[in-house]
Amino acid sequence: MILIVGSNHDDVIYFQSALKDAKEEIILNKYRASIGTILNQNVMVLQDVYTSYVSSALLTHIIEKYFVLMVFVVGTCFAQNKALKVGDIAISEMATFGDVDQIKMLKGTNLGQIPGYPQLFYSHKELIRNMEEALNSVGANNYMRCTFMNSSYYRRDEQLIEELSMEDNIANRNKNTVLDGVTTGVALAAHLFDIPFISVKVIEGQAGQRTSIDSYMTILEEYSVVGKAVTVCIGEISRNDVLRG
Amino acid sequence: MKQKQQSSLRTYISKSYLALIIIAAVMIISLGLFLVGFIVLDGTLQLVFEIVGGSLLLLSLIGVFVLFILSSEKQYNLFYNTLYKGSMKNLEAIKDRNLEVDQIPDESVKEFQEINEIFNDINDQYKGKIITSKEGDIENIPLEYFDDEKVLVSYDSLMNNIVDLIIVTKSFRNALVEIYYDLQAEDISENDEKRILNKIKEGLQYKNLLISKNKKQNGFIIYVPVFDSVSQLQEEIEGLFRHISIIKRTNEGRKIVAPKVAIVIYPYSSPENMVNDLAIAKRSDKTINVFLPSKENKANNSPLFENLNVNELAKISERLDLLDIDDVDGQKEINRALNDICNYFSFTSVGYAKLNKVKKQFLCEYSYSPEEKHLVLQEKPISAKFINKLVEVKDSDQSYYFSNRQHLNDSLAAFIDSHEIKSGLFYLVMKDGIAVGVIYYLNNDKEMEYDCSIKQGLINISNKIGNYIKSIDDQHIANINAKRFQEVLKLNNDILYSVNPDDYSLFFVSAALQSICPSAQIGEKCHKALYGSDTPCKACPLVTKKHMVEILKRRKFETSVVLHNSEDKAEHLYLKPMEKNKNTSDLFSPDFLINSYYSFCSYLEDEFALEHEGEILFLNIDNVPQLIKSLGNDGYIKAIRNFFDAIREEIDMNLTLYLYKNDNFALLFPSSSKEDVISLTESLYSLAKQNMVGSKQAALNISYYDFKYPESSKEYKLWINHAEKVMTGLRRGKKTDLIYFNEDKYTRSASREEFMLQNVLEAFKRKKYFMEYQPIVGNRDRVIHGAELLLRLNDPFTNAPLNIGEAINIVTKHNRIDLVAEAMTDCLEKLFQVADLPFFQSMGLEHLSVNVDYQTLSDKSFIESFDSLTKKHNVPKGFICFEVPESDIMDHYDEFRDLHFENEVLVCDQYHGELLRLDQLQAIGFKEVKMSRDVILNIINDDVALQRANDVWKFANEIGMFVTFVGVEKRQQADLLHDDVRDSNFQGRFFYSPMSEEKFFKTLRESSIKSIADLDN
Repeated sequence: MILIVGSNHDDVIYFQSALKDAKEEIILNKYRASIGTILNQNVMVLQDVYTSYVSSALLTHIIEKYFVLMVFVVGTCFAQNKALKVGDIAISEMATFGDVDQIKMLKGTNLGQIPGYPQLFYSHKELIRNMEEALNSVGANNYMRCTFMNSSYYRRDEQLIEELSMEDNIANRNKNTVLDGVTTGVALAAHLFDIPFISVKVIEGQAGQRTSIDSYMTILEEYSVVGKAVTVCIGEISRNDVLRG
Repeated sequence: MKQKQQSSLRTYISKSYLALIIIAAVMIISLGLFLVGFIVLDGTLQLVFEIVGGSLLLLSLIGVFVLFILSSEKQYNLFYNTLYKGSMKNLEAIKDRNLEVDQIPDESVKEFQEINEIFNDINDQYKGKIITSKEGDIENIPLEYFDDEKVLVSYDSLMNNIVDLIIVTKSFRNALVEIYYDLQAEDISENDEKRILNKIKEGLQYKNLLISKNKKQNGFIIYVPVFDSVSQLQEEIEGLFRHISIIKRTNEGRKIVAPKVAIVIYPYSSPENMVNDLAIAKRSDKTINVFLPSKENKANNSPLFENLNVNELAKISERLDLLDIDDVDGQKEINRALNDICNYFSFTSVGYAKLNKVKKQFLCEYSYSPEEKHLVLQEKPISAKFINKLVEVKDSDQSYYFSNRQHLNDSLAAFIDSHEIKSGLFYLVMKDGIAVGVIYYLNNDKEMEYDCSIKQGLINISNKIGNYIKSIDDQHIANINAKRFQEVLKLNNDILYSVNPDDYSLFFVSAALQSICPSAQIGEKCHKALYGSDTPCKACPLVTKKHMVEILKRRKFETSVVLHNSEDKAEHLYLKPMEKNKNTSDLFSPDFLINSYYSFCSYLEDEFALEHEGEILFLNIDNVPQLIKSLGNDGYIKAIRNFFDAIREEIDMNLTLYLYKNDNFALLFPSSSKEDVISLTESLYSLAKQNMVGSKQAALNISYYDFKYPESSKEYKLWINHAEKVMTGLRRGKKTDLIYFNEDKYTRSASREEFMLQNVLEAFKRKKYFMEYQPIVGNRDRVIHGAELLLRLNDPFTNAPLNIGEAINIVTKHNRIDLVAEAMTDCLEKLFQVADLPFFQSMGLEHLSVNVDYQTLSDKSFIESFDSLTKKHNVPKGFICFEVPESDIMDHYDEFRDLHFENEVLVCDQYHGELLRLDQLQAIGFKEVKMSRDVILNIINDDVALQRANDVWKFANEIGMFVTFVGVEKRQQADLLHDDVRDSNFQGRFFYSPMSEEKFFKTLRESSIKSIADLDN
């Protein structure tokens, strides 16, 4: 089963409409999941997942119960770099917790690292490559590999980025840093079960700044592009062997 | 006196029954007698019995008949005329929520008296009360619900009951929201519908929220009964956006379709217009369009609205929130708010007075009384003693309120009684514990029993007005102080500047420094502006804490930080000249407080050294002896200073003025176009002629000389010599108020009016005019239906077009309007010679308009020549339109009644709707209006303008008048005004700009081909 996770209804509307023989299931008495097939591959589409707390807890349960083989995270994210524009597509190269500091808890722990876990969770290289090829095939050229940094408080992201951008920090090393609230939780769960994940999100705006309703229209157009590309990617994967992280 | 005996309905009915019984008895007896006589008896007895019985029977029948007639009449009067009608009248009054009922006008009947007693009780009990529904109770509104929660309703029942819903909910704001998709009804599945409805209910949690599908079934209409703020409602709707998109399957694949939202709000839209306004809101391109056409709600006669006094105050108060001290209409807005309060609460008089510090008096600055019964006269003082007493007795919220004379403090009685005031509210504007103003609401004919909420509302509004008045005063004082400070610095030639120490940006520059270094402007970095360096000076006193010696414009200055003040975050730097031979004492003229001749030469020297180009306008005052004679030396200097102040305020704060020589001055500015120099000089001329010293006239006669530099001179001194020679030569001529352009050796009057008059008369005499044509297109087919003929004249010097409206005004003023009329007929004659009527008609051209006014139309010679032109060329009826501006029609409204045109159509031009109603225009023969471009240009951003345009169009349609919208310059304007149902015309640069005759014919041909092609399709 391939899992596609989004926060709002609009994040996953494309995939819900693409499912064949779709059935609805309630998970943990709370979450509506649509289960069907896309290009002969079993797919579950999940929405209303907010924050990495929920995504890591929920996915731990779902991965085990439904034998999930890989996870796609879709929706929107915020850019740190001003060169990344509204409507650009960010593909996760790696993910980290931007709002975690456990340095003092255990010697040798880095900023953003949970003790006992890696500082950075990497998306599968081949999955990234497949995704990029899929985006090319649907005519998208406004995508880039990014570091996904977890944030639970978007309003103060500017300050967060500033802190993390100092000297030799993740945000500084990789100029294409984006913030979202779900990916790293997914990455954590995927790490526990050793399955690949990838986040393909549309940039909604600059970190810490309000976005206008008119820019949301641009995002919706890109949602269709992402939807098509993920579908193509799933099709490609179903022809090949299952990837292992 | 004998009392009128009271009857009773019961008695009457009883009596009627009794009479009937008696008659029935008599009938039975008589019948019995008759039968006995007929059957039993015979002979004479039989006859007697038969006759008696028969007679009695007949009599009783007649009796029944009479009883019936009398009783019917009585019943009619009692039951129908009196009881039914009297009761019905009162019931209807109660239905209309009027609880003042009349008595039944017949006290002679006991039952009626009893009913009247109840009516009296009703009157007593409900006197001063009104019937309102319970808050938010919509139970009695006949809505058709589709669910048990009573949220989903049918479209028709919602639309038909909007007005009642608004009345019932009785809140300050109700909203009608339409969420719609660019989809067909069948594209929205049941699941989508359900999901969207759930999200709407989740996102908009309001009691009595109502939702229906919209008319096209591609969206939803939501009635929001009450909400706190527009921005909050908009935010809630924005929050829905991520959850209510719909997938549409197209040939290109799946497309995610987001909704658009239109919102209208009561009271910005009236209840009756909410649905129409929603349709207008949907025409906008915005994703969420909140359409707020009007913030006013007319006072409503319905007694329900009597209870909304607080809401009315809230509406007025909200308008004042938008007041800004830079707002030129701020004073008008305050006056308007006071007028509205006065009218709504029926005060006798409202207004405000301010403290004049010089005269030490409170002068009434504004007074409004709808019936002109001003209790305090405008521009008259209010007794300072009274104000002091008010300060003593006022409440802590700065107000003093007395509902009637009995509740007045004794110390105020004298003033109150002397002004015949019966009740009122005063609000004192206080500053540092001293009263600087007073706002008042007064009655001379009634008491003022207001509850605390209304009183508080008035105080809140007064507080806002008071704060605004104080801010304006503070700003005025600050401006005066700033000016004084600069003048003091000029007198001492002090070179001073202030910077923000964090980023070195300048926020104050003394005139002396600007004189040396014109690039020193507020906001620039000091190191860049003074020394041309991108980084702070290495020896900057702000960093080193030591004096800095630096060269500025070839002179050495020592810069140091001065004027320390712990509260002042800025740093102030002073430049002291270091060279012993040169000093800055010559930088300014101490008399005129402008840059001196020394500064002028110094600046020019720099300009020549840097090989810059520029322009100098020399001003020579020609009437100095006369001014000195009438004003004295000091007065003359003051006159010149006032003139320069006016230049800075009205024209440009940054214009650099120099004293050239004696009574010659110079204005320096970058190289400009001839039009700009002319415009500047015309403005200077106006200011010179309006110049005053105190209350005395001090008009200046000035000769203006325009020179460019460097021209052919390599050195500034040579240039000055050359300019001086030219000006000396010209000064020998005695004429004044002329501009001389040295480059072109051209002279013209500095007075715009005089120049226009000379040139316009000349142009008309020599027929140096020409016509341009601006096509007018249909709203729906976008094909040319008509054209406006525009008379054009050019400035012979600049070759730029002259403002034809202005030209015609001047010609009219000098009684030469015949020239314009002649020009127009001349142009039309030429046009018809080139292209005849059949040609125009074959091209689909239905009319040509010419701009005229009352003067022209009433000129017999014009009418005669026009008539002969139209006859000669067989111009059909209605082909030519006379366009007359609304203001001109207003000025000659009665005279227009006497004008009649058989063949031409009268069109009202530049129509705003502020002076004349459409029916008034129609009454004097106007068939069409052209909506002013001032209104149409603003419809994109101004909902009030859009509403006005739509209202005019709607009303015009209803009464059979036609509308043309002028000034359509952008697609968005055309889209907002487009209507598939109603016909109208568009005129504007989005379609066609004014064009030459040749281009017009070509365009007309192309347009007619397009219309034929459309017909074929």
